Amino acid sequence: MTRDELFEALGDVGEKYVTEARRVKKPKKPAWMKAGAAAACFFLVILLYLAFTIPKNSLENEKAERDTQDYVERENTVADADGPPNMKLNGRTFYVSSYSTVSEKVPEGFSYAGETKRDGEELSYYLNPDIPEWVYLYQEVLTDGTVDETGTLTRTEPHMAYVRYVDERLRGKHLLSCDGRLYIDMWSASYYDREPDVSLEFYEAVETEWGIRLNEEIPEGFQSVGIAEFSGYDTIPSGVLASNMRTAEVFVNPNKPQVVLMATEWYTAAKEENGETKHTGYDVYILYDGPLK
Amino acid sequence: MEDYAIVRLYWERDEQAIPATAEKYGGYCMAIARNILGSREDAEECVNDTWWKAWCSMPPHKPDILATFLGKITRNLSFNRYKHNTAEKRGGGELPAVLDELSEVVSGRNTLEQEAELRQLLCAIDSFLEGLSPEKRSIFLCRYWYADSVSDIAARHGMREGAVSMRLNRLRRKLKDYLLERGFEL
Repeated sequence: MTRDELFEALGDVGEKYVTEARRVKKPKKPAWMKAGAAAACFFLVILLYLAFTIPKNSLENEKAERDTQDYVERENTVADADGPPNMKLNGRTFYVSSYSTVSEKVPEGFSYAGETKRDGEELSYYLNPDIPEWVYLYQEVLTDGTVDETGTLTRTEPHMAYVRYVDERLRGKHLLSCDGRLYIDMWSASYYDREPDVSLEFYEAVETEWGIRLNEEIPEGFQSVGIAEFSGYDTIPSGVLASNMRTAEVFVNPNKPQVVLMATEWYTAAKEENGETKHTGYDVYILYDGPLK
Repeated sequence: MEDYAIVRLYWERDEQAIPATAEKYGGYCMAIARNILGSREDAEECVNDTWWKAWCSMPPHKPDILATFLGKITRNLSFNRYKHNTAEKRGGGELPAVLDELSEVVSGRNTLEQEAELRQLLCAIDSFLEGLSPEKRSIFLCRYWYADSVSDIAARHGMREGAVSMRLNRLRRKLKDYLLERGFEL
């Protein structure tokens, strides 16, 4: 074997190892810092910078929110490539919410539950027995402020705040409760995790028959069952009709209970198009069979 | 932007996929390409080619780990460019040293003739990696997958450069023994 062949072969090793390789970090402190640790610990600053202030209640504010989040994501590029900030608790990993949910006060129903260590720093965490899939960590946050109508960013100083971390099995999952049954959209459904949301066979069967999203008329046999109410980001929706993504019309076919369709819209701006083109269609949701049931 | 949302843009054939990928993973892919090639100009070309390859691959691919999917494309493109440059006696970042180290593991003779042999080798390397501690595995892959410099690895792991070199040396010997024991002709 040649060394080139070996180098090329190494390029195909397990992806999990490749991802994990960049996550391992063990910075050692120099000797002088160790000696002064007792005094210096009062002045250590947490280096994890997150999120934003979320403006609400107007279209302008929604745009500002998107712009602000985009800005935060740019700022966190390196962290994202290495994996989002996370914490471990009772054998579970909780990742910072995809929606960068930050609260200035202890969120309602949560109470102090202990300390966790990160980068040598003790951080307080808060739990709510009714919502075991969330943990709030009291940490320093770079609230990068808001973007006004002219696009000007007003930054604010870093400060301590409560940051939501979400159970890895829930984070980023788009769930829909329909008539008491839980569904997950094909975009976020995992068939490959340790605790998959659906089986590979089921995923492939649905993908073959329906695809991930339909951009055509509603298929025959599907009828509207109403508008799903928004249960909130990072939640596990429950009840007759609720979604943790958005408010949208839901369609079911009584003869196809394993699939539910949710109205959606998106925009494209391909070269051959004259500006942005709005498309409407339906996201395919499939019966959830994962650990959050 | 979340990875699944970026993948969704590719599947929608939405050209915003490329700036979104470049924004999130530009630095990551650039680091891999620069490690291998040394030249910023060549690295930029490989990273741009990475976006094009990603555009051509999704669909049908729906990568589980977008970072590694892109990183692997960049690594392959950069290595091909490196070989082209070496033929023209140009450049090379960390890679000449990385390849020199890997030559300690192999004989240099062409022994991998069948695709099946390559797959077996990959399985063996995977199980070798599985048997390592996360720290050793990280050191090994930072060097031989990402082509990181010894000093960068030392900084990442809070070790001295000499200790990293020594550990890499041991890991190479261990890999060689591991593969020989399993009947691979190196």
